Amino acid sequence: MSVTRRCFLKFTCGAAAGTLISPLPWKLLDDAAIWTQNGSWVAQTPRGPVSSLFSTCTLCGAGCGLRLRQVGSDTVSVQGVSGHPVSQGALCPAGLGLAQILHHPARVRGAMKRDRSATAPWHPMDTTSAYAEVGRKLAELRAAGRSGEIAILDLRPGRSLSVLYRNFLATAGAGRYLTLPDGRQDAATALAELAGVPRHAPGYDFAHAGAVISFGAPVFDGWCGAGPAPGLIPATGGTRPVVVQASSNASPTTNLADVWLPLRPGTETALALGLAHLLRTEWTLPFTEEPWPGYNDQVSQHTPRRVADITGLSPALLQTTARSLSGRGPVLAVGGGAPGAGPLGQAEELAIWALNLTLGNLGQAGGVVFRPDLPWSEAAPVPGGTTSLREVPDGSLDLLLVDGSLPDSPVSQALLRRKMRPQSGLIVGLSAFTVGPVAEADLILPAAGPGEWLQDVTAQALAPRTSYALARADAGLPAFAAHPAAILERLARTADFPTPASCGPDRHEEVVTDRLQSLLSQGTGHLVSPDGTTRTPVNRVASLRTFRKALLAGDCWIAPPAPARPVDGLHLTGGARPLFETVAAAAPGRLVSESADPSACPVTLMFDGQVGIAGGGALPPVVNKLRRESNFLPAVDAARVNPDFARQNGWHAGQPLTLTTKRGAWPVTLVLDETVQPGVVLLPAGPGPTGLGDPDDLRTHIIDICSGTDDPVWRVGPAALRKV
Amino acid sequence: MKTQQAKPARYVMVIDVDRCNGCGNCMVGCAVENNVSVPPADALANRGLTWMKVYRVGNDRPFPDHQTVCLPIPCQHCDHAPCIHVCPVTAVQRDEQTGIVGQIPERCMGCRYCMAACPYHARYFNWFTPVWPAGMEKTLNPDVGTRMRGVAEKCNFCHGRLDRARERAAAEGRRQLDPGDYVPACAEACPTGAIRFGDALDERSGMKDLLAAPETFRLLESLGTEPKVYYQSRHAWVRQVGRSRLARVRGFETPAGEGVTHG
Amino acid sequence: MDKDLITRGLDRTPLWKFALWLLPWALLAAWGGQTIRDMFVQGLYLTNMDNRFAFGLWIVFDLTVIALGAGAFFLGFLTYLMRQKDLQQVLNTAVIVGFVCYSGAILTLAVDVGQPIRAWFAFWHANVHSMLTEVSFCITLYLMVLLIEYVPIILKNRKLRLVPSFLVLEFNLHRIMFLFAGIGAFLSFFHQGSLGGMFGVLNGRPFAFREGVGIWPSTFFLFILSAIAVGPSFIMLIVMTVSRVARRPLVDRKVLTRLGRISGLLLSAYIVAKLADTGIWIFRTLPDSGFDAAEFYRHGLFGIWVLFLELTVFGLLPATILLNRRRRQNPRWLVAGGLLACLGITFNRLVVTLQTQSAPTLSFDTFMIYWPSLQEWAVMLGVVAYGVILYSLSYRYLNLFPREHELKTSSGRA
Repeated sequence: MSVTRRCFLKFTCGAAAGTLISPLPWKLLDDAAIWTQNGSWVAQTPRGPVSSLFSTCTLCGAGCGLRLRQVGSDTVSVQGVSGHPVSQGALCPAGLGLAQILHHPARVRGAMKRDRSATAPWHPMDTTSAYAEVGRKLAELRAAGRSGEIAILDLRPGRSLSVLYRNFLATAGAGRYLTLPDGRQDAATALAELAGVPRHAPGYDFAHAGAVISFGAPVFDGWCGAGPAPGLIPATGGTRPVVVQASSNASPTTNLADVWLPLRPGTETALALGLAHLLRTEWTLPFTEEPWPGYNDQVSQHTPRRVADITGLSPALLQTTARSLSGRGPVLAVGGGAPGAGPLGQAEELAIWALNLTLGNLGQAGGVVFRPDLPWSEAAPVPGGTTSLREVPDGSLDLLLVDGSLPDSPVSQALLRRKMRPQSGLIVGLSAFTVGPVAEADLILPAAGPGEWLQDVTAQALAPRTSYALARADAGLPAFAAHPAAILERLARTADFPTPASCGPDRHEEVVTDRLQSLLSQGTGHLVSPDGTTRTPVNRVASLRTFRKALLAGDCWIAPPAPARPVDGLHLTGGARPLFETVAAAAPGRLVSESADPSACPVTLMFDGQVGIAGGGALPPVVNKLRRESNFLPAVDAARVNPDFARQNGWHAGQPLTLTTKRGAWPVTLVLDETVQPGVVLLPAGPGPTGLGDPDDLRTHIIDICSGTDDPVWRVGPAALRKV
Repeated sequence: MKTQQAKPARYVMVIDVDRCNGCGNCMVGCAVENNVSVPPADALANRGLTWMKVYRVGNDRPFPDHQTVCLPIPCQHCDHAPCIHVCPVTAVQRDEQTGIVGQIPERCMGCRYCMAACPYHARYFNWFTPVWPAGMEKTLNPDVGTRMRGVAEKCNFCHGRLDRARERAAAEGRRQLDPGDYVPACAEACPTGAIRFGDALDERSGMKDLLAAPETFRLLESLGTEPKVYYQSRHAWVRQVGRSRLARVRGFETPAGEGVTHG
Repeated sequence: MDKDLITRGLDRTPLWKFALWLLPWALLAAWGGQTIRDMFVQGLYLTNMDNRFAFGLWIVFDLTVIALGAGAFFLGFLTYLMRQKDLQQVLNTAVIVGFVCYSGAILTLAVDVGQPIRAWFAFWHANVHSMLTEVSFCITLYLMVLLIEYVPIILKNRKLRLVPSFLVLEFNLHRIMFLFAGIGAFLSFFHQGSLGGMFGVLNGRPFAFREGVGIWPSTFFLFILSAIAVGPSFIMLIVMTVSRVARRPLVDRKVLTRLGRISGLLLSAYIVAKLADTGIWIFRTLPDSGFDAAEFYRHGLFGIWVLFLELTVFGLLPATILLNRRRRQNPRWLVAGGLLACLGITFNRLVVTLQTQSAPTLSFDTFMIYWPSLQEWAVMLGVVAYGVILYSLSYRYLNLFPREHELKTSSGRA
């Protein structure tokens, strides 16, 4: 039989037509659809054994408990731990994305040098040369006897690393140890000045309070991580304290509070004095010793009418407030400010502590408790002294090392620069990212990021219980990053300091071990499991090794509850400063001059920002993406203004305007927002325009035109808005 | 390996709006759990992937009577979902055993008809090829597949966690899941406990009482979609905002004595 | 040069002039093609569509051209099944216009979906409840029908008809053409309707949602009615345009006026049905969903004028023009009537796609606006250019108008 061409053609065509009714071509097409979309450009999920471990978050000072889910050695998910003794399960958006932050686009992978002339500010630099340059300067300063111009800015004092910072400064000669307290730390310091008893840290005992009067603190949306203060949102069915929030602008806390006092910006002092007046007369509280001379006169002057004039709140509302606070049990007045809005100011904090004294809650459950301190000495003297950055004279530093922690509140880069000598001053960041507090530094030495080195975490200021926990190094230390202590040691060696090992990683380990040993020796407190269920008294812990192992597994050491100290036992004596004048001066409010320029409209400049985000440091990319996509991330130049106020001034939404303060000008775009008080311009504290903390973002942070040494309060300030 | 559950379940989510402080934890927890990618920073608005999205809603009153609430809105997993019957390739299906409305990304052809159909705007499209910054793919959740460009995606009540819970239960010899075995990422991340989740058919979950409470409402109830995400608020205006557009347009009626007291 | 390909007895412009005519369309098509390539390689983010505007210019274009291309099936139905023989003069044009419209729509759809390689899943994993499944099935099958109807026209080309087997094929096809016309009418009825049904079943979108009969919302029937009303007008406009460009009469005048009259009658029926439907929607359907009609017409560009425009300027006005015999005799009025009718359908498809998505549903939604991006215009214009090129080639080399020769000689004599 011969096969003709026609037969062959018929056969092939028939066969081809036949396959069309078989699944073969369709499955191939099906698979092609999948193959073409799963090429090398598509991310593959990690593979490996799945495990779960506990740790502590170090992104801000709250120290929330974490449960990490790991595939192999990579962390793939982070969750809070419900029942955690410190955080009660709360975590903030930044913490939830913690796994991603080590791969942030602004991650420093080698020494970086700032080049002010170029458009892209950060250039990679040879790491050895970077260390050589800084080491040389350190040596020069030490040799010239100018070691007092060397300083370290520690953004989170109290850690073991802080001890090493002080050791470094001591071995340098007379280096200065600087801090930049946030609002809560300022509040605690203010009380310490009053009482003259600096060792006992105050804490707010929300859990037992019957009523809370908060002066702008985010008690519902960011007291502990992103969560509420403990006990403020009870489990289903429970009762919660009555909450009064005094805040110039609306916020999630004002929405969830029972009473909102929309007072004029900067009039918190008057309100605190006025409430003291009201409560004394209404409740017939027992008279207490004056916290400072003239306090009683001040209080009697602040009648409801006078307070109403200053704050803009009606006398009726003040009466309602006083009434809602009564009869429910201990009343607690809360200061500290909000991380995004800034510290309240010393006068305000003093007035609030005095109010707490009037309310009789000092040293009582449900009020202000004085929690036991950690057994190691905090105030190890540094030859050059410990100072707040703000009090350092301008131009008096030649070398400043900036800690790489992510701050709770924004750090003004202009403030840092002002402290440096104009020509030669060098700011060196010990940071894992090029954004945040080191945004304007001259040089960055690559440091380990969160989770890459063992850190210890102490309780945040104003927390009710003293605690200690360890944040383990669950991610390995990458080759390009160094343990902060290793950086210090290397610098000390390069500069030929006498005892470089006193600030190295081995010493860090020793400090941690010493601390654990002193907790163990003290024998008080409990070792609490991350979910809060197991509590082991410390005096029953077998050995240091067991103790350390437990802490590395996520347990916390919690001090015993603060003993109740009756008010009589505390004598609030006036300090050397004329406190009366300080408080009196702030009482009418902080708003000052009108603008001299007739074409500009005087406004009050205020800030807001979410906890964990307001500090402006590196954030997990997913957080900024989500905030951008849900309109939670206002553009950095979005000036929010009340619609009625805008209408009166002839402004419309989206209009470009110029905002000026006495320190500078800033271009803004108008956004109409009903939550803002008329007359206020609200700007966001937080990440820059792209939201990623773009390393190429050259714009100065708005905070730089607000803060200064003369008045550390940047929360409320006079400004002017002008049409472009 | 999946265990067939002994009894059918009806998973519902109850969100207490009065507890929500707008922190955004739910959004982040969801994105991290479900490997949601990050579109370029200069992407147009409304090109994002926010399976859980928190909206801010005001009561249309001037300062200081103004009040804002935050409404977290995931896929509502409607019993009469408009998206199910419109998908031409059957890429959306409601699981009869659990009530979860699932999306099959490998089958979706990207016609976006389902997105036009959804009144809650809870569906999102991959306009871009999903990419993660270098090294970040090591942080992806291995239980959830990544999607590709050109397909729609949405909340699926963290179905991967349901599978894991079933596996764990099977390993322990249980046929029935206990309340708390299976919790979506958003509910787990919420710091105030505003988001509750459970099986409405299981007495132990406590969902039934929540659903019957007078302050419980659903979004756009009059459309007849029968969503399984419920909201709760003591404030009448919030319930009106959620239920239908008519109430908002015609003006809220706030009963006397309600709401936050202020000057 | 290509005289051998041109039908005997007909004259066409020289080849170089024809090439010049094609050049701009070819460039436009090339631009469209390049953009389509970009879409496949880079992604749909090049458009201005987003999560709130999932359907954009391309969907509006698809709906419009499918409605305009309805002339193909309707005229075929009238010619073969209703025995309206004189409409045969325009039937070839109708088939080619239909083919161009449907193939263009399918090409645009292929670019519009995110995963075109999976488009066949609509057949493999078909969802029987979805209107879009029905649409996919029917327009694919109908495209094949149109192809089968197109083939005989091609085979009648002067050169091709010399091949005996082609002639036989063409002859046999012609014998059963009525069958294809019937199938085409059946398929078209359903997919024109399903395209309307796609929007009418959206119970989550009160602006689009309509009650109806059984599983078919009223928009199902309204779309069919509007499509068959406008199909003849579109064919009429095309023929008159070609006539003007070619500077000769191509069909008897009475055919054109006939098409106009058909359009007018059906358009009137459509207006009545639409008025009734709109009334039911405003007073019953919307309130039952908890929405208010007035609110949909209070935002942005979409005011009450939209309804007014659709019903009067684009509805009653062309209907009156086309129903008036004297007006129909005047070419200018005929064009005006036909053009208004076609614009009306475009406007209706635009409203039903874009306003549905603009309109807020949740009480805190804002009204959204959308403007197509350059890439979307490029693809759309590229497809239009493809249509013009295909039709131009068909006009040049195929005998589209059986009466052309006669009319030429009779007018030449006259």
